[in-house]
Amino acid sequence: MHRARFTEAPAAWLLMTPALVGLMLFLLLPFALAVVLSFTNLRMASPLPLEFVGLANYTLAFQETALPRALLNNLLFALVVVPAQTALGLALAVLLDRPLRGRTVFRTLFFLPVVFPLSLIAVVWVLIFAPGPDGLLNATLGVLSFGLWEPRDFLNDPHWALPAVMLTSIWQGVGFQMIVLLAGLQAIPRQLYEAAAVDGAGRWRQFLHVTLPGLRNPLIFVVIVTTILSFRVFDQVRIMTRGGPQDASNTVIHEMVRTAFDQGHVAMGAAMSVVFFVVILGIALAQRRLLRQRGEVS
Amino acid sequence: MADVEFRAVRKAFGGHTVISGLDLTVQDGELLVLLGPSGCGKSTLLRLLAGLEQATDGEIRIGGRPVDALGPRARNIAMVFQNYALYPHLTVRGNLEFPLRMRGMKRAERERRTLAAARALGLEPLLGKRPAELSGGQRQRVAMGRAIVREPDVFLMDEPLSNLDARLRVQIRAEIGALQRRLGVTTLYVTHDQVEAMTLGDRVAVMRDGVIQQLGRPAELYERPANLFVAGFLGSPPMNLLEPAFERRDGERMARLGGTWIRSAAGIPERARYAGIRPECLGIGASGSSDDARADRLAIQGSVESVEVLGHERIVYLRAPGSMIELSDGPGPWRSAEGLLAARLPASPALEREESVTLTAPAAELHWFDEDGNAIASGAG
Repeated sequence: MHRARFTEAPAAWLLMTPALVGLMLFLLLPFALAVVLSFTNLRMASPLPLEFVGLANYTLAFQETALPRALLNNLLFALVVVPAQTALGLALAVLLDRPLRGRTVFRTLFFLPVVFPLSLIAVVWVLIFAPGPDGLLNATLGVLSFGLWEPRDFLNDPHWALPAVMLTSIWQGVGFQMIVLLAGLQAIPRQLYEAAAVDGAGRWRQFLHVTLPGLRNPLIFVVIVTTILSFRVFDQVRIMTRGGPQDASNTVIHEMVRTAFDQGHVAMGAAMSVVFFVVILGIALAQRRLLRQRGEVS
Repeated sequence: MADVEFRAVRKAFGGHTVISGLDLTVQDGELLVLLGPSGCGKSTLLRLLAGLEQATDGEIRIGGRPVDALGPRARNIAMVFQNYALYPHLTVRGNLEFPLRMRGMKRAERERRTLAAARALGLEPLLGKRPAELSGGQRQRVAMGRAIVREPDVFLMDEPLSNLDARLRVQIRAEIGALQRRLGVTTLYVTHDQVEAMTLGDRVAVMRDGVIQQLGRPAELYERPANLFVAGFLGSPPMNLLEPAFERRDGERMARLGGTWIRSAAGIPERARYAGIRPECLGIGASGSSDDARADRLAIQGSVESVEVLGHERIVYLRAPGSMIELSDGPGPWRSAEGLLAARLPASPALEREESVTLTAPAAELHWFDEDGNAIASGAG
């Protein structure tokens, strides 16, 4: 045992090296740099000499940038999108798990947005949300409400911008949830449903007592992945609203990119990324603890 | 408690008929075994009764009440599945309680029944465990417990022992038999294992291609198989089925079996076309001239092909002249084949491969079957 470990160690290191180098170069090193830079006054194309400024960037980030609002938006985004998208994905998965004519076609259609570039989808939805009575959504709502709907500029309305981005995101990502949950559904033995039926469970109770417990692990996976994606929202915001109006749809990453690259305030952007890292780490640890407590079901 | 009645039940999947016009009555409190090869429709019959499938035609009654329009929930049956189908996320207690919870039973009553079932099956120490933590035999008991806790009108068991190893199977088989007798619940038990069928069943229905071939007490099936299929299915090894040559001499019909002309004392039935002899009816005899017409004794000479030593006895397979028939899986219930004659013999004397042996049996032990493979009752010539 000991000898085996001893002789295997060099080979193990050798095999791990490429991955480790990549991890170092593209993840650890940039992050370490970000931490260091966040304590400086680095600006792009600035004539000022590089100086250590302590925690100034952190205080300023919270006082003078849209970071607090962006964090709140991200939180809202996650609180709405994660449950809504998961519930919708589950509903679609359950529906498309039944024998249904053309079910492969439907599965493909619902999954299609996942493989499209997000930027393309964002552009399409910009057209859907187009302002004025001729905008696709406005016109549709107008017809459906017999003209009672008042056309609005969704993406420039502080109340509608964030929900519009959420809707786009849900539409784009729900296919992913659906596919993962469909695979999970197919792994549930049919006989469990039959046993439940014989035991006296109707359709709804079969769903509660067989389907949901059977989907526990795929559901956990989907929720974790969607949560992480919710905090990483960038493309939609960049293309559809640029964070506006008045930061109503701004997100942390978008604000970070804007500060660091649009405004050239690299050190401030770095400070935001460190703050964001701490937040994400906290969420990841909380989820981990929560799930470990409940244990795995084999 | 209730009896179960199938009336002209037919089931087709798409255009493919699995069960064609089946009539069957299971008496109140009886354990009836459906026995047959895989694909014979026995499990489908069970699923029809459970309400997991809908009959294409015909009527099913439980306790005199037609249940065709009722879902599984309303039929008050309990089922034990081949792979047990225990709820993996529930503990043993949760699994046992599940059918009671689904019926909205009060907590105290639930508790009482769950404990009673657990006690009856020795599951008390396992109540807090999940199915994944249990052995195969324990899971099987939990599945049984989940069935009995409801006190249903009918038990359905779909190959409940097939996932257990041989020793456990014998033990649990006995437990199931004892439990069923004690509870007296009408039980329909599906298996492809004839030993299970013979040992457990009050009556056994042998099925093939969705048709009941014979229904009767186990001994009855063995001693008086109704047709070639039942004869060739039951027994290990099953009955030797032979295709004799017939000839009429001095007005008496004679059959040439394995090189010997025989005439049974009672005469060979007029319609006889096939003959059968159980392996245990054959014994080693003196070899005689094979052309002699022996009055009432069968003598088949052949060479030993293989010997299976079972300890207290041996199964000897003999290559003998004359045509045999075997049950076929394809179209047509049987076909002629150059088969081996099986004989169940005592452990001594030793027999070598290729050794020439004469096996004899009283002609009265022969079973006779007509052109269609149906048994001809002796003396009914």
